[in-house]
Amino acid sequence: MEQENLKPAGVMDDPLTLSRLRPEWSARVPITRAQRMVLMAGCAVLLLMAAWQPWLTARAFVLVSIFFYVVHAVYKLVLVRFSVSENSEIVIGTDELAGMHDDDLPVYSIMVPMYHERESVKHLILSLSQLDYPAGKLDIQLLLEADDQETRAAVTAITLPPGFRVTIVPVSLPRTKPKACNVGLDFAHGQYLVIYDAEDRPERDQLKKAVMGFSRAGPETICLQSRLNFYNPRQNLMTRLFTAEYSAWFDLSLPGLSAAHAVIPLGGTSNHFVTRNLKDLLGWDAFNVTEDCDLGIRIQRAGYRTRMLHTTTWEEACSLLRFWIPQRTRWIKGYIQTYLVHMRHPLQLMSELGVAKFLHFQVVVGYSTLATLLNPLFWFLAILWFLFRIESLTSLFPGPVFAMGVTCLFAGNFAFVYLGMIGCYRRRYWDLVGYALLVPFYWILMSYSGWRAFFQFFSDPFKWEKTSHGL
Amino acid sequence: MGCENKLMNLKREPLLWRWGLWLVLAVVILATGLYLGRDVGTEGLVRENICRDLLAGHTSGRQGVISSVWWGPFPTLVILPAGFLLPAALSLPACLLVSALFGAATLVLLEQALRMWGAGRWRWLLMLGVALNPTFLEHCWTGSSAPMITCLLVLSLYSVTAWVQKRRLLDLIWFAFGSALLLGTGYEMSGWILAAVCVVAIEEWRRQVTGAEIRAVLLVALLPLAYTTALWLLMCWLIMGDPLYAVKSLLVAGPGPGGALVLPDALWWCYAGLAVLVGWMLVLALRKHDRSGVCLALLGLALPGAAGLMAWREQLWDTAPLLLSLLPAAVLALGHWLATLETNAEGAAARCGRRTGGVWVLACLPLLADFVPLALSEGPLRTSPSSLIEQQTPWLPDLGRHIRLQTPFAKVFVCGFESFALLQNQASPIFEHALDFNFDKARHDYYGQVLYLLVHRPEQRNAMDSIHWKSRNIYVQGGKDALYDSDWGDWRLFELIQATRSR
Repeated sequence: MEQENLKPAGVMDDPLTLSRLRPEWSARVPITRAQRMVLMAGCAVLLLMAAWQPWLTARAFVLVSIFFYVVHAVYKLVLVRFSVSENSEIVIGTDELAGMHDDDLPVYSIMVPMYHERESVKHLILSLSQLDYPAGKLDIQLLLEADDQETRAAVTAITLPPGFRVTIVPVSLPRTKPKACNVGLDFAHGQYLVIYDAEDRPERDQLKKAVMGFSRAGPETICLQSRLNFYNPRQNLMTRLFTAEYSAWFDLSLPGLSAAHAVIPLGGTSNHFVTRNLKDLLGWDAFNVTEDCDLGIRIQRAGYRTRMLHTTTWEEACSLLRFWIPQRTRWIKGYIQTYLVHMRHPLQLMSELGVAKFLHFQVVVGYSTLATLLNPLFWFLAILWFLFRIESLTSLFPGPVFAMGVTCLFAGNFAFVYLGMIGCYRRRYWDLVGYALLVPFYWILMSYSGWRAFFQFFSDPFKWEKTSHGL
Repeated sequence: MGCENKLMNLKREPLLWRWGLWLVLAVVILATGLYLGRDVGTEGLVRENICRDLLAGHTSGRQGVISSVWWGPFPTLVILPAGFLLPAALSLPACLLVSALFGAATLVLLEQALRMWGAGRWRWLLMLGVALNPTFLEHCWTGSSAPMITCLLVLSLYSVTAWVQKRRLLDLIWFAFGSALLLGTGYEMSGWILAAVCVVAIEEWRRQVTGAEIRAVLLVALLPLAYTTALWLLMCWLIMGDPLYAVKSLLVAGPGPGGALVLPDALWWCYAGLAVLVGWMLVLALRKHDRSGVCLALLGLALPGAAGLMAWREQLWDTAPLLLSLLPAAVLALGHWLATLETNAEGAAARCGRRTGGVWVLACLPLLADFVPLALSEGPLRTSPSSLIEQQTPWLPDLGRHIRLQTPFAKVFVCGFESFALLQNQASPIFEHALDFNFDKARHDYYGQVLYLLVHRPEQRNAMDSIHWKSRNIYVQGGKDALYDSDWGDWRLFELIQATRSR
């Protein structure tokens, strides 16, 4: 039976509030005129230099690229070292959970945006019903699109347990998940709020851990990011490699960023927020296709903090290449959007974040995206050299640059493979540790998606390529 | 285990303290060496000049990095960036900086390991024993790779012991990288690495976990090692044209042609004493069923064991780093036992244990600091032939003149790694490094010129240079195309016979 919220109210009436009130925070204009001019001027200078001094320009390009590769590789290793420090995550023990009384727990809002996910409805309701939290203090909203008849029908066919309700998201552009979340945020009345995807299976005690985590973390922490991992890691090679990547990202890199007090690009789901603060931040940017990453940066810019919570939400790993590519395209495109939005006023960003976090932002959001675009070029050069020993290539890599390049090629790439193995090991996916050795093939797919994202950013910046689940 | 309970309560000291201690110790070591006027040793000179050639883009530089297991690439690759860090105005060889940094790192790692185990304040005295050890310092002052080897050994040994004790992933990773880098320092430590890998494998097998978990542990532990090996083979294939080039001296040359490790007799007694000390720690650990202590002591004993194996293969001259590593290994074993004494008892028993430990430390201190040989020997214990090259080089200009007297169009191929030290300040174009000398190629490339070959006496590490396994007995008998010309110090000059090519 659908219990629908149809009438929005309050400040967040409009799911596009952010883009209207603070357009400078929104990706509604993907690239500003000033940025376009800077980019075009940069390209023009590069082309002129290439025409005037092609060899020197190429050497300078290689030098800068290799320098950033070295920085990125060292940065990743340092993050791993940070990830094992004591303050990398908020860990709540079972004895602490046992000491919590239901009466003391606040109302917790859960929002689940759904679109064409009929097959996930039953599992979703089952897994949310199993959460260890008093039903009377749960405020669960299923955010359904008004024209998504199949999902609405599937929900209508089920008698929703107590605490569940349906919120209908009116049909309007852009058709994005953050827009639906903004609609839901307006109706959320919990002290805390969390976003789950339809196929998510959070650990039963996650909400209680989050409540305890917020009370322990202090008022500056307004967001807790849970670890994400997959419940189908062994479905095929794709899911195995995806699991290795996710394990390295959520179990090593993000805890490392948290311990280093760096900016944390939030993962797609299982972000727990203090609802009031989230509303103050005007919710999500409906035009950003990685609204979570963008929100993570805005939280830091506003002077708040995100921390990692030691609990896992199990998701479904995308098992088919034809769905994986669009999903990754969207993620990388979103990172490009986020980078450009926050770099509209770099000095202001630096003053808000501080120099250290500003540099973290450059590496985590900016360079990691750029690297997916640059990689094919350097792979190509490496293959050319190994296969054909083209001597002219060596002049692109003078002594110290060659040394750095070789270090990146052999030590940097190995480090990234090894990180995947360590991620699987920490997750006790013993049998997947070996599969992490195949991650370099996965990088090729990432680079392909990167270039696809790059072109799509200019051709169709708000396109949301939906990932299919239940495959 | 009592030790583990205490571990839980120990807080790591601030990062700044560790880094600060490390830098201060490095500066002290470096400054003392410079104040005492120590010269850079042969190894340091060779590696410095390989770096110079490498940066200049010369083939000899690339060959120098990877072409022999007796000259492992890792120390050279560390000296390379250190050269950038040193201001040119200091005119300080980078190898000295690297040795001092690794020497200091050895001490800091020892201190950290002993503190983590809960060895109490005695750890400072143990550390002092190593810091005052003249052999250790001599290696630090002469730019040798031995401090790097001891540092990596301490890292690997501590990590593998901690892994057996606590099974922390981080310890396994440190062991994996420590042992991989240790392999990159050269052939000497390969026996010990094998022993350490066996310990990890046996420990996993003994735990009776699933096969998948054992495979995962071994993969994490061994992948860096396997990768280092594979990379070395790949580089050999790319640069030398033969993936097994670096190990050919082992495969083709067989046992080394002898040459003893030049050490004072008293120092041998010291090493024997350290081995006995580690052996006794093994007995104590076995009696207490302390698995990590047993592992530590066994791997400590593996050092003289590996040295013995090398001596059996007549490669005793290359065991100096192995024997030197026995020093920190003994300190670790002693510290681990002290920690057990302190943590396994309370009240009066603990006080008694502490007193016993103190007596042990004080008794072992002279052994650790080599006080006995210091007292017995008349001069400083100089194990590194640091002035060797300086003593030899005065004849080099004479050799140049000797060649030019015969023909102005000559080329002298100087074989082996010591050519990098020999030719360090030699700008004459007639000399050329030859790490991969090929008669036919030389004749072809320098057709019409008179060609010479300068070969070092095949002793100690020089005996493993490629010229000696490519042309057996060349130093004594010459080759079928190489005629004896003259002797220059420890080097012998041969003239290559060139057949007249028909036109």
